[in-house]
Amino acid sequence: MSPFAPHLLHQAFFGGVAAAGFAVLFNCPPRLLWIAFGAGALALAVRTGGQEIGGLSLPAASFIAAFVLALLNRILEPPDSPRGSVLAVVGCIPMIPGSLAAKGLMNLFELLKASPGEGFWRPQPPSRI
Amino acid sequence: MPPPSLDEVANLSLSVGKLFLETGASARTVHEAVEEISRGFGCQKAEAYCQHAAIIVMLRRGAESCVQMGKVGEHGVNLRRAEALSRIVSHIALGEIDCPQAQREVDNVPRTAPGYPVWFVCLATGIACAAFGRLLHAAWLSFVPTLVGAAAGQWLRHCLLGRKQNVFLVAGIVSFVSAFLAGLGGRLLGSGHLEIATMAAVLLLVPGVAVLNAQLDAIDGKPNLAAARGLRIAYLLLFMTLGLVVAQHLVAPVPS
Repeated sequence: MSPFAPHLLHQAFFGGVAAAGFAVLFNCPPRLLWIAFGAGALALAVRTGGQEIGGLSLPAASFIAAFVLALLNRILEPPDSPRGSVLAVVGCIPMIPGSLAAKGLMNLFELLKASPGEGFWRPQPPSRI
Repeated sequence: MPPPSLDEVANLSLSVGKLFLETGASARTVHEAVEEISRGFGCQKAEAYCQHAAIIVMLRRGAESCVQMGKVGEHGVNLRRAEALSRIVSHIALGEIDCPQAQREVDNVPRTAPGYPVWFVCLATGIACAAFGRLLHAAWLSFVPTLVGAAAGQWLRHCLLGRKQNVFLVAGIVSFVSAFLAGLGGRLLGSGHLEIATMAAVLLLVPGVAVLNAQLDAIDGKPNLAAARGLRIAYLLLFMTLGLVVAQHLVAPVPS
């Protein structure tokens, strides 16, 4: 077994768990929880495969994974279904780069508290009377 | 059966649009629902203008016209309510229910749409965040602390939002508590990935559906709603990160 296979399975499994967990948080109907798990697993599998095998960047791999999910949703779901694109949305949730956004903001905070004179927030010189 | 008055149709359209926005639908879904309702009750023209905190509906039937505006509450995500609303709209479009009955059913959706017990939602959220931790390559030792921190944070969020507290302050407090518990637990268990564990524990606060909706609204030519969603997302992320940074400084200090 190639060393990539366990990594792919790991990412797909936990992507599915994250999607199913968020499906509960979003009050998804119970009958759809397994499908939400499958959607999340498929999304992470495609994204990981795109990055590791295809050598794609994170945005490109995420785009392809979201496209595959939306395509499957369109094919499998009747157009007048009251569920709409629930499965594509729930499946894409594990790919929302929340941790990257938090890291970006944390880096911004670091920039703001850089040493005196270097950051945006410059200390004011004492006023002379 | 005489057709309902335009006032009644507009009121029903507003109720449906308001509930759709509150359950995490994009502006396109609201527009399509308003069009289906108005066509079902014989209107020739229907327009809906969705803002973040308000919705305006304009209907025209023959020589009559009617404009109504309604307030939209806090935006969230509730797929079972959205599904129930879609069913009612389909029944209206097929002419299976009249306007007063549809209004009653729409008004009942928040009470009648089933939901999961709070403990189960907290547990599922905790498991989801712990899974995010694994996706971010956190150590197994931090799995349970992340789960506990995120579950406690979800419970706290449920309690605070139930008391109508400010959504941004709630995000900051929940972020701090979740990250603190996850980091403290990871530290006690000897995990070496406290930074990742604390970050994974606050991911329940990332407004993922709002991010998707903001993009859909922008692409669909609804820049006002998209911009409002974007601003709200930015503030939520800011408060989330503030709570996270404070907790990380307490439980996972960066070596100087």
